[in-house]
Amino acid sequence: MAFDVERFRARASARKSKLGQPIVWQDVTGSTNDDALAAARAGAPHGAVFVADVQTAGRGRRGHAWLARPGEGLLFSVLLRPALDLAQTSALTLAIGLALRDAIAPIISSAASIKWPNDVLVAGKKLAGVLVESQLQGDRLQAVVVGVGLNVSSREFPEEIAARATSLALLGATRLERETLLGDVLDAISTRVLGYEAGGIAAILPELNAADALRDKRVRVDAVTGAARGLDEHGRLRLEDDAGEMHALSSGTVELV
Amino acid sequence: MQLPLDELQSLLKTLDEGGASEFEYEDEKIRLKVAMVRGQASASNSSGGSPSSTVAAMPAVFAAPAAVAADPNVVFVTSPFVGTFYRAPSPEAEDFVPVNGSVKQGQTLCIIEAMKLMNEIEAEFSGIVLEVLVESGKSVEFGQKLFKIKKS
Repeated sequence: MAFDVERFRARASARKSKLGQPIVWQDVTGSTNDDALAAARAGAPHGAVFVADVQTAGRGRRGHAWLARPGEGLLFSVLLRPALDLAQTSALTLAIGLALRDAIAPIISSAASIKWPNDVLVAGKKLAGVLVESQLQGDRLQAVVVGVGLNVSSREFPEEIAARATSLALLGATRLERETLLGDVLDAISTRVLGYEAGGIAAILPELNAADALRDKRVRVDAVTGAARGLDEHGRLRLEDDAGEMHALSSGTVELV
Repeated sequence: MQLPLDELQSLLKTLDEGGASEFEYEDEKIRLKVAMVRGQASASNSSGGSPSSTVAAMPAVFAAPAAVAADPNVVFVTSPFVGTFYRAPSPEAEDFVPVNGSVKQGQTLCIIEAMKLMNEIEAEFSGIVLEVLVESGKSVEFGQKLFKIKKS
């Protein structure tokens, strides 16, 4: 079923935040993040949302594909113009992971954890992914685009990801209507972004460490293999290699080994 | 003189090995011009001298910043934070900007990734990309020079 913009709008008055104004729906697009980035360059406001039933070039970090069947996932990007210094911007991605977890916690009975920096996992399987992109000119943060892919009604996945993916439907969620879910997720993002603007990483570090899906697991991040040891004060992943040396990583692909 | 001695020595060694006879370099702080007399410099090579003896044997002329003003239209784009530098939107894609290519204000020059946040670094002004100073996929530090651009 196609995403129903009117149904989304009809519920706006019951919502806490104004994110989602304006909202642009497309049945098919390349990538909602690209749409939002282009709109940001053209001056679109804080809170603009781009939602699609199908993304033909949907992507995660560095072009990794995001697989979803038409209508089974909630795929959207929200444009934010937050009041943040550049030095604070990076760890905003961590607050977004918490926002997704906040939004789904009330509707599923299992606990969700976060695979650094912001994949949302339930029982070790990926429920949602986030790709955050920003536009900077000099020392000015022009825009932040938060792209979210949330598996909603999928009951099966392509073979290559079946062992690693889950959905709200498979988890027995009490709510599967994408229009309502979008409102919930946007409200959670709004709350977390305001909290992050006020309190920075320090205010969410205890929650991030408590939700850390990688804690004490053996992982490989590009060339370094070792045990994940939580997040440091900047939100970087602490990795203790086999020689006992501690690394603090701010980017890279994290694989469980 | 802002250029550290060890950097200068390795620069001169590289130039000597590459057979250059003249070299000009500039950034915000310094403009440097080096001229080498080949016949004399070769003597230090044959003796297999250390970089410092190579430098000592090469007549070099340094222009102080005050003597030759740096071109105010040549500017560097630096990294706003620690991260990973990417010249293209994905590994298979073309670079955002080629060397000697023109850029418009607001055009994306590169991505710096930090904490899975992909930051598109946009040009603050229009111009020509003279040099790309970092290899794609490498880590960059706060303030590290990424691009040399001549404003148009």
